Amino acid sequence: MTLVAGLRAASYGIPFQPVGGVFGSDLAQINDWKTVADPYTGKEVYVIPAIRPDVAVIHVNEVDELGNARVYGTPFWDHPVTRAAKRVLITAERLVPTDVLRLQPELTLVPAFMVEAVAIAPNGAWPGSMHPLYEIDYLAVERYMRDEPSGLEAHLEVAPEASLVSA
Amino acid sequence: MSPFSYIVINLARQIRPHEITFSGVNSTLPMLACLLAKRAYDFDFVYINVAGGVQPTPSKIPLSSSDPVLSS
Repeated sequence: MTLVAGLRAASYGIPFQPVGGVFGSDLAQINDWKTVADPYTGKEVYVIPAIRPDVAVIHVNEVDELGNARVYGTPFWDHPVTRAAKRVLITAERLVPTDVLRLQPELTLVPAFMVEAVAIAPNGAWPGSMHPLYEIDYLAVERYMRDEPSGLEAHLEVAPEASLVSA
Repeated sequence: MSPFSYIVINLARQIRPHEITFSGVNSTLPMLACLLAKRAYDFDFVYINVAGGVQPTPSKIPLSSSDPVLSS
């Protein structure tokens, strides 16, 4: 909630975003979050500073050649992060014609003018999930988490994008 | 009863008729409590979650409280 608030502040071009709650949590001290007085009621409220990522990289279900992107899973993270970031890169399960996206423009989550580059990477969310195409691969995540020098190499070797590079 | 199920069951017992409950990310225990209460109680309450689900009927019980099955 606080992370999304920071991204929203960046999206709106404002220095911070008030959020409900936070009181009683150690997160406020750890992150050095401040409160301000609500100018209407005088009641204290936590304000989260704007978070403006240099680059947002998101994986989507469908994209056209221009960069218009559809997400069929939950969009609540992809939306604010693509608005907050200075640059947006998109990987997608598949390429679709612009004409198809135009039939239901309300399903386009990220419009092309926000997108700098697109790559088609089927199964690109692996070992994470891509709704509704595939679920999280917990075994692969566990292997990745093992603290072994060869762990990362083994992970990259079987990653779906590895075959794209060698193909 | 395991400590794990003790927490889940007692969280579920906090829910009252017509309340609105929410589970966020990294919140498997509250998620399980809400799903358990939906099965255990006859009264109406609303369960929403961070996956975007409103009154979800997931096809399975996920490990993660942000699993996409919680949105459907």
